[in-house]
Amino acid sequence: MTGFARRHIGTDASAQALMLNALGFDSLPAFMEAAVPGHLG
Amino acid sequence: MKDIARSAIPAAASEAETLAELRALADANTVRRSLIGQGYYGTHTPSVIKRNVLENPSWYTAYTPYQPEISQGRLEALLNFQTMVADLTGMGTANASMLDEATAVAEAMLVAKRATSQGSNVFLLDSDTLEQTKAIVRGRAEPLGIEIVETDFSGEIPECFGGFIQYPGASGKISNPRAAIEALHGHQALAIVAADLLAMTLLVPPGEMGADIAVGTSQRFGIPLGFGGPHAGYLAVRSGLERQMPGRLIGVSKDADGNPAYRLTLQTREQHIRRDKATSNICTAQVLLAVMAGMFAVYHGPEGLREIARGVAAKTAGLAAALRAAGHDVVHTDIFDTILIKAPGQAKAIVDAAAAQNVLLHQVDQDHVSISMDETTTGEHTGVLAGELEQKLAQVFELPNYRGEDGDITLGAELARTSGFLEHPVFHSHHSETAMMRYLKSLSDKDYALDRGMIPLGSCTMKLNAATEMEAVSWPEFSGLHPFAPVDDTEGYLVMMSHLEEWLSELTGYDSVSLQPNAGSQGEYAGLLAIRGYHRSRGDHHRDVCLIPSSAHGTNAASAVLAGMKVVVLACNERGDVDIDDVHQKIAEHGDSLAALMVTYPSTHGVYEAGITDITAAVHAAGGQVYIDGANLNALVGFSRYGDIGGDVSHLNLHKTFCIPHGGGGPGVGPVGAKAHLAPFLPGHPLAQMENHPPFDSATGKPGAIIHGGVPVSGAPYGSASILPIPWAYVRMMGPDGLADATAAAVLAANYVALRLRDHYDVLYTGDSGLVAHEAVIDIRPLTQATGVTVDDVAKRLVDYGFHAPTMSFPVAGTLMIEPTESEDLGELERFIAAMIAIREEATQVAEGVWPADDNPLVNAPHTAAAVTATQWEHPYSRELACYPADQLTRGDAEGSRGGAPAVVGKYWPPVRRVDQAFGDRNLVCACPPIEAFA
Repeated sequence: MTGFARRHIGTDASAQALMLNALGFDSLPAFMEAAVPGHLG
Repeated sequence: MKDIARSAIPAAASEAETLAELRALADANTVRRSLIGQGYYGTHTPSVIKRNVLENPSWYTAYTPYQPEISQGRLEALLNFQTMVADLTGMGTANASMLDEATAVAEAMLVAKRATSQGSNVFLLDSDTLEQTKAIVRGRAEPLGIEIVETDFSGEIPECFGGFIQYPGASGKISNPRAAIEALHGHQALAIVAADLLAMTLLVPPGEMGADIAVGTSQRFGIPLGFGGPHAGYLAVRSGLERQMPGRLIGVSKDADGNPAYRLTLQTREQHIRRDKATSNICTAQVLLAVMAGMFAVYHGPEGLREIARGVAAKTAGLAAALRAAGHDVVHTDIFDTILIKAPGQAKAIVDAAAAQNVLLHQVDQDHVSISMDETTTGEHTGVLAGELEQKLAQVFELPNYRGEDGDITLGAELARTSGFLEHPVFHSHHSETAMMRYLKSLSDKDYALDRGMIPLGSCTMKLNAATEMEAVSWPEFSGLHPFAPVDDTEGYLVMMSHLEEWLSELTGYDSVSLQPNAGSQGEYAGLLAIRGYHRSRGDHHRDVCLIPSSAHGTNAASAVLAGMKVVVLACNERGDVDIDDVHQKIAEHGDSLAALMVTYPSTHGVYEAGITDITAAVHAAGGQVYIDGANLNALVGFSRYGDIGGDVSHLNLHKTFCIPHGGGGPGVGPVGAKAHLAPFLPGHPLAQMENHPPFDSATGKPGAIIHGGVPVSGAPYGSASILPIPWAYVRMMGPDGLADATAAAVLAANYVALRLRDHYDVLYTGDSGLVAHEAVIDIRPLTQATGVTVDDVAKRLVDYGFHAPTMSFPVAGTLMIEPTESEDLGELERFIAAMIAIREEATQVAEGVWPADDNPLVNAPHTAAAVTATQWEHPYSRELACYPADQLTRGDAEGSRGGAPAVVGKYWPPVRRVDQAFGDRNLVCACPPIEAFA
């Protein structure tokens, strides 16, 4: 994340990594793939 | 990440670049001196109010005051507004504001319909009514089968259930409304009067003439024109109609110690309870603007307001006299601020001549021009040396001797106000700027807003409202334009709105967007009207059934009824998902009558329902249209689009997904987007600068090809235009990648909180993956069963820990819905999680008998400073635990996951203890209580 998005979004990459790890995912795309049902998009 | 089309949205710009682009857009607007009037007047926003309210996050980032213990400041400010409106109109009770004057008139009409028992379907409309109000009232009446009859009330009036009088009239003429009110009462009909609040300082108010309902706007009390909004409308009723009022109402109750405390009162009236029995769908108010208007009255006091009004009336009278002396045909004699000039065939030439001098007049028709004076046209030039405006008017109308002299005010026989108003001490105590600044500070200190900490309100999306996004709102090029300014003056706005329409179309998968609706509820209504208009255009007048899941927000059902539809409720399964079998069954049952399905996605339970595309396909196969409620769009942006999963039309909440702050309960913007076949039925407006959408098509560089031809849903053509720089700046600074990153961060945060709380609470709804979307519902009912601790106790105890409560008992009673949003950092998430776990442990101690059920830190929460410092402390827990529980909690875990950061950075002290809700409903007091009540 760069620029303003970094200011708007509270969690940085390291925080997100920690949260993803707790949830059992190794990346944000993998997590969203699981969270948002596959028939969408 | 899913790869969706993103062509319309440019890559992210920096904050500095965005401000520079906003400056360029602002420079493309031309602010000329507006004497257009027609419900929108120049006003001086006192700088102390602009800086300390409008531009102050303590006010603009606050939420709707559903949690009264942490909202006493803005509740008091709103009570000032209610008191001001009730006093000035002479009515019994005023509500906490309406979306605008035009819709307030329509809402009043519906109150009259409900409150009268005689069977008439006729509503009388004053022929001297503002044009936008006429359009709104006619639009609202048609789907409900109400017949509108225009009249000047001079002769016999027909049988009717209610009638509306504009006072003073749109033409400026002041007619005594007394006879019309009595004639209406002769038919057992309700009399509704739109009263200009400034004029009411000089005129006998409608309440003293027996009017049943007064409506109007408080815009000229310090709220900038803003190209049409946002402004706070008002609605006030005589004694006996309080329980019929739409909107929110602030009342006085008492707290657990018996001290007076403010709260939202009569909440059961709201549409989320009444659902399809509701006669209004509005849930939001215009709180930030109502606060400002109320403070305008606090700052000026009754004498100051009278002074401004006299200045306006005298200036108007002086100009009218000069015009008459020069041989112009001035139509009306009894006037307050508006002069109607008859100039056969010359109206356009006069308006053009004035515009050439940078003065904007109102062209009524080919033969009439009107001129409206306001607070900003009074001043020191009077009578001595003509100011710039006076010189220009003298030139346009060839008044060689006019110097802006005051004239003799003529308001009409028997209409001079003799009664007092604003006699409460609050309107007499803060007239110096120092006192005003401190009053505003003392109120905001009582409240919990985003500038204190996280507000994890599910379904409300209390994300960051960035300072750069807010920056341009108060620039004069955006705030100073009249909503009916000539099209050439509004180019910057039209370009900005073109961007927004295209960007929002792109993000939702729709073909056209209307930015006109002033709130999500108005967007819903507009979208359902589009469906209705589409069916009727094909001759399908019989299609009037709207399927709505039982889990839906109550507003959905209320909006459907107002759009002339019949609501059929769909069952939900134990997971909170729409029951697909029931969808098929209800479609089979209603067959040809099916108009629409209205569904929220992700669901109101915070779940991406796997069956959504099956449901939308089934509705389409049966000839129905799909309305997807976009309240939860923030869980979808960059990943999926309503248009791609079967939606035909949706409203969005710019005050949720796109960063317009909640303002303590308004303003909002609820744009409605639709596929091409519904776009012609989106809201139009008789006074719109351009009927094309987008105004400028970025692909062709020409006006867009789509014309919105539906009835208007807001008084102003582009709704609350002056807050559109906020979502514009947000999308511009995030870019397509940043928007998707925000969605992912929000879903991640919700799932992380749900995971961490799962061992301590029941997380109610998850999707097939076991994950939630952007919010998590936790069930407090098992806890209540085991310990007696209620959802209220948990919510109020969170205040002691320094948090705003999550959403209570929506979508399911006895639950809390948590939405952390993408804007909270991990430290704040951990602090919240720790507080929730600690509260769970406190509940266990209650269950184990460590603390009695009726005397423990939960049931006594929140704890005020006065309570914990009282000489006597007889509770079975410590004072420290009462007010610094988080510190107690972290003492044993100093090196915990937060790295030893202090739990309470700045202690928030609630000003009152638990507020007695039932007492306030039984003892309705909706104006400022006497000072003695606080002794």
